[in-house]
Amino acid sequence: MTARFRCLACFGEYSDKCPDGSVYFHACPPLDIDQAGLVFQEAINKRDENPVADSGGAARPRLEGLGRVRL
Amino acid sequence: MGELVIRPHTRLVTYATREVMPPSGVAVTVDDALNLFTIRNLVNPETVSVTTRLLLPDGRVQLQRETVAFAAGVGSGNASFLLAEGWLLSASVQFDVAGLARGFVFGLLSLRIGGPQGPVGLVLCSGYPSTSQPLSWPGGEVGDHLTGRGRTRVVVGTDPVAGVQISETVPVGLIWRLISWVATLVTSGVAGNRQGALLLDDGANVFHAAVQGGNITATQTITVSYAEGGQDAAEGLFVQGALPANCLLNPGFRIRTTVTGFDGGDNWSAPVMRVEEFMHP
Repeated sequence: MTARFRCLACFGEYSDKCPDGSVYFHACPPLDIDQAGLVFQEAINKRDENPVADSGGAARPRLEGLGRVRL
Repeated sequence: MGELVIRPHTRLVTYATREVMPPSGVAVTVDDALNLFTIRNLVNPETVSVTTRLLLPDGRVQLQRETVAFAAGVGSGNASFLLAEGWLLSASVQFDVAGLARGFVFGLLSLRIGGPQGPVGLVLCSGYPSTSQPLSWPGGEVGDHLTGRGRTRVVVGTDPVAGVQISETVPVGLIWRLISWVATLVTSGVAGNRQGALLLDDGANVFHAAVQGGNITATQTITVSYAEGGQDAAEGLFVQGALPANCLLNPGFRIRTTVTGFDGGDNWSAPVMRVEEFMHP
């Protein structure tokens, strides 16, 4: 079952599954410092859903950011 | 035409089991272990069977089948099995579900000396098994995670709000070869040309900028695409740029847009990417 979410850090919207059913991992875009995008910095409160293992071995998002809401 | 005759078969072949050369170059002891290392990106939970045939010292051939279960999603791990004393005749790794294509799991089957934590004594086979083509030894493939074809799939990314650029990150544990990328840019009524590019970075440094083959003006809905083997072009509602050949991107690398003249009311759609996916050890 695919669910759709809005990231509360960047407000981007995404599905948690790709068309083939694979898990999709949202990560907020960086902020461009120069106009060409070659110089950039990570956003404060960036969300990154790529999984990392916590001390108990369970997977959690690398960066929670400001969380997300289900649409 | 001859008549079909079915005869009962009896065992006729016997083996000398003492003071003879071993029939296999791979002797194993009770201290050795068979180890399956895997990296995976699975849609559903799956199992693989690890099957070995071992010639025992008394001349019997022992079949050993072990099942390894995987959860859905991205992950990696090791599974080890102890073996009886004898000579390894064959080994294979095969999915138990029908119709699973190549590229979901990278596996490396090895013999570890002295137990599951011991050093690798021999790599038997490695690569991406499918249901129809298991990994097997002897005579099978010994490839690394980038040998042969990966799994081609479509990834739909995040739809950013107006005024924000697209950015997609290669997930942890995976390598993507970017084949094509497409998104729609709706420009606001603010006058001015928008000149875009697709940037590739390693999380810190931009190492490639693929320029789109034309400017986009105000109040347009333009489909922007980049492709391996493509060329810079602009025609009507489409602009296109070229990606570098064999564009392999490691975990954490990003595929993102930049647009000079970008207005806060300009709005990208979610990108759709076709990638060839490999596992990252």
